[in-house]
Amino acid sequence: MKRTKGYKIIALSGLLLLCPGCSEDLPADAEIAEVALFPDYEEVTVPANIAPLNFKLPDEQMRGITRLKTIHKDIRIPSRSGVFNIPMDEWKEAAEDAKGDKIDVFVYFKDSSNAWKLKRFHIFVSKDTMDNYLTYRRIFPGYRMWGEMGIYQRTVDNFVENPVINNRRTGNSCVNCHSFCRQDGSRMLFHQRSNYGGTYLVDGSDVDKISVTDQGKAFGLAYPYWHPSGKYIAFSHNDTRQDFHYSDRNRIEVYDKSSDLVIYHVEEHRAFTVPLLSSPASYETFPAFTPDGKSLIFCSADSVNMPDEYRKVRYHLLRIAFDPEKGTFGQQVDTLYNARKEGRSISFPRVSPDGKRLLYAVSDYGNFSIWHRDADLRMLDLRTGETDSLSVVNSDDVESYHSWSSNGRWFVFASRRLDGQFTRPFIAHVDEEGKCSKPFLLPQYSPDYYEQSLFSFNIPEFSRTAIRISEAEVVEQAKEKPVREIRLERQDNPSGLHDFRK
Amino acid sequence: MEKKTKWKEGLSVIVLTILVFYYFLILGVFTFRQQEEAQLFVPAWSNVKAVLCEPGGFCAVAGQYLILHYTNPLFAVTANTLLLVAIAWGIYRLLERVSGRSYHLFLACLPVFYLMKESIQYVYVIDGTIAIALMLAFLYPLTCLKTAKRIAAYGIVSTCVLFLLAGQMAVLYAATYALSPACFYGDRHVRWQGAWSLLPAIPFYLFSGRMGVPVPLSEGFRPVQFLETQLQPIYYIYHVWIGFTACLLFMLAVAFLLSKAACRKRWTKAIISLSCLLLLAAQGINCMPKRIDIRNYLLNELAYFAREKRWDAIIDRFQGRQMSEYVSLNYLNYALSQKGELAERMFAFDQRGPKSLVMPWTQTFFDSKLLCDIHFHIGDLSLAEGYAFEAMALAQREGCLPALQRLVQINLLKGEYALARKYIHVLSEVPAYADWAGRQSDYILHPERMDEDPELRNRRRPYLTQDKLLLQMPADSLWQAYTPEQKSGWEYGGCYYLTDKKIGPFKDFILRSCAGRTVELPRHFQEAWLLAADLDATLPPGRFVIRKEVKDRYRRFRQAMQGQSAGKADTDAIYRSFGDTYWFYFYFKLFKSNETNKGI
Repeated sequence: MKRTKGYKIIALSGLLLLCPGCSEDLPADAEIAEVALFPDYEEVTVPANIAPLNFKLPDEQMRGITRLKTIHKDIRIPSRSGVFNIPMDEWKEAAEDAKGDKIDVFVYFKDSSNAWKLKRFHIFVSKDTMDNYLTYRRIFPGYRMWGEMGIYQRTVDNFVENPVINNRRTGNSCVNCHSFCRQDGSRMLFHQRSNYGGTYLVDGSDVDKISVTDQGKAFGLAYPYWHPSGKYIAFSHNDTRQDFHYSDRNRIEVYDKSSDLVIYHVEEHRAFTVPLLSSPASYETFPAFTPDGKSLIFCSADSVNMPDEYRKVRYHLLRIAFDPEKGTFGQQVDTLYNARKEGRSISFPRVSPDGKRLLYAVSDYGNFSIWHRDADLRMLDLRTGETDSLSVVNSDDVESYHSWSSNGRWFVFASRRLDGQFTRPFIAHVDEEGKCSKPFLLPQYSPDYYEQSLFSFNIPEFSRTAIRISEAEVVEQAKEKPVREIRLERQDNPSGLHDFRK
Repeated sequence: MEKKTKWKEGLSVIVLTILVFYYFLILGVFTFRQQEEAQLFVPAWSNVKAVLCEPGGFCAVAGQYLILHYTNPLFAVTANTLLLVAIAWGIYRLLERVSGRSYHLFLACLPVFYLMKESIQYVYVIDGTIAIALMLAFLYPLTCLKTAKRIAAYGIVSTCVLFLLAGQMAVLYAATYALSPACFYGDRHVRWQGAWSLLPAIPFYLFSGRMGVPVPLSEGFRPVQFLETQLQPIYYIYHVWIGFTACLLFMLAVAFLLSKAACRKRWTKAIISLSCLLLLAAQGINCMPKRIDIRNYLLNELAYFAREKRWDAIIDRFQGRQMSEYVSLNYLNYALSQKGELAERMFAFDQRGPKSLVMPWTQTFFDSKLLCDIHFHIGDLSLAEGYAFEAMALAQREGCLPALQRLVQINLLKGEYALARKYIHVLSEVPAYADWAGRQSDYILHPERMDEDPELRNRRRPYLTQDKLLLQMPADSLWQAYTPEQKSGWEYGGCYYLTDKKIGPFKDFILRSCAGRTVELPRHFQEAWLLAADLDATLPPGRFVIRKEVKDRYRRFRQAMQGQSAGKADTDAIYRSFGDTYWFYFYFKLFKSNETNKGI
């Protein structure tokens, strides 16, 4: 008899321990009040396949209970040192249950008055799926020198992050500008500088390492963009300089003394440019193919006397037709955004995969908008020609580098809004009508992560699938694979009508 | 006999401990302090757990944790001493297993002396020594194992465990383990059982990249000049491990061979012991610092004094000495300025042009820290922030805590409170910096209290309101807007022209910055003003009050110079009388890219 009673007590205790949420009684008479939670997930729209949105109270001494309620689910999470860590399985079930609807969030907390208070808000869960992988570079935001950095791929429905390449393995080289072909994790590229330098094209577990030369000299490639067919990649070649402001709220100024565009044929290993994309009278940069592959859009500014006139540089947005069969360009360049008329400068144009919208960054001048506090995102509806200022997405600080998910319903961008220095990845939803929702910060297991981390998140890029090649293989191939040297072909004909395949 | 051995062992341990302790105290203490500044390690479980799961993570965490406490120099010296003495003891026990000879006390010290010398190199961190100590701790049970099976099994298991704790050290351990039984045992079958340890070690070596080891052991064979320039300390640690292991194996071989020699006669034993002692003495001499080590030591000492705000110690170091490099001059002038004496005394020292004030940046961690401090002191917050970031990027291990402190101060002054709060949060998690971080956080709520802080006072507004790009600005334009109220920046500005012998621009700078003010110029400015008046008769007479003793001295200087131009004066005599004045510098000092003798 005594043994049975003992077993019951043990079983009950076990149940209580295993089910902490169930055991929490919610305060009955909590007064509605405000409290600054971090991260701010109030009224955001998330996909069902996002990791738990762990958050915290402003003070670790505060006690709290969070209730997440959907139609069929009711989860309670007590705080531990002010932090709410939502159990993974329960979150997934709640998010799935709230698809197309919302999660009601009740945050009960005790402040210095020792009375229970309550904050209520919603988290909307979209029916639209989001690509399950997000790849970014993490780097300490140094000025001229760099230390540890790496490219990492994060699975968005949990907190797992795998290194693609960390420069500790390659003698502190610089790695950057990773880019996927149509959000396919098995086809990507990135650049590596200093040790084992070159552009690395990854296809499955194969790596092709290329280096372009122009008249015998190295011709470094920069901003990449894949053609949807995967046969071409557009690159910019930039002569970039960096300087520092003496007394300006922007710390750093990065400008190009020259820049041109180059097209690389992946299968035939050829690199070429045409006069319309490499004019000495202008700076061409930020190429992007349209989803149908029949146009190349890019930014271009009139060249000025650099660096004295750096504030006068304003980039237009241009478009030129492209024939993917022949690899040739049209003879005419259209202006989509006239910087002289609008008075601002465009960077990073990206057309949504469904071809309906163009997302870009705009700033007062220049092209390296990540260092301009006035930089914001804009969305152009390509069907109606209307521009959305994205007031719900933008902040008082920098919004820049962005990329689309494969279904065109989500975009991720880099923002310095949290502290003005370190870029963080934010994700926003775009509905059928093109209306954007409030962006949310990529969740981490610990809400303290971003506060403690001294790394910036650069170039966030979605992919549908995971990168197949392991870091060890990338490093091995970086060290062992010879570089394929590609000579740049400068085609005289403005549109490049010579068939370079002959 | 055993009693005799015991007291010899005890005495050796004591002597070795004292030797090593004082070696580190004299030659290593400032290097240890620099190592503490070159890492950003937050001892929180959330940071540590991921590292512990990597091969070698234990040593990395333990090493960084110990280095955290290097803020107490005595701790640094003691920790390193204890580890080395423990290592010596471990080696001795191994050698004793070969045969019980008293000269093993000397042989055991040879690898330790090698390690001692490497321990005072900035690029070598204590993680490496911890791994070596672990290796010897794992080798010790081998001295007790008797059977072939146990030797083999222990070899495999210990190699795997050591790989988890100390990474690639396991490969060197396996090599040592493979050879040691050959020295311990006569039975042929037992002798080679140690080779089983190579079974896991070979894959660890060949496939380390696939096992989460970022840098392969083979990098340790590269030239030292290459290894010293690598940002990650593991490169140089490999080099030391390889050297130590080679030394250890050599000692085992020597002990084994000597054990075969007939040592019954006292004189044979005496000769062997003497030879070992001489070898030890030779290695000891080899441990003495070379010229480059002394230079680095002196620079580390300067950095330490600057960090502790011991300005007099820096200044006294250079009294009456010829200066040979800009780094030292930068520290000297920085110290003088901290005491408010830059424009009073700088030319009493051996100055060498404007780079004596702010040296060119050479892309090193050390220079970045120094330039950050100097520019912060002058009031150039943007440049100070830039150099703080460079120091953070160039630090050995993920950041630099003093640079982070500067970033806190800079962002508080700029009103970037969100960013300041973030840096304060990071610092508050590091025990030695938590109090300081707590004090700074008060300024977020009460910014006006910054005016009571001697380091932050009067720095809140930028002196040049018009923005410019720094790399396009001439060096002196940084300080154009300073007035006598911003004493440090103003004196740096004036001294910049004086060190460059540009009297015209100096004169313009003084007239512009002192417009509408009654200012008593510091001594060197007064000296230069008299010189300027001689060169430019249009200067307004009596614009600045010149002290009588300065005027009188200048008169005597001119008389001495007239004697010199007539070929009758003695330059040494002029130096003895006027060597601490700007006039002597102006007329007699030569340095690169400078014309001499602009005089009367």
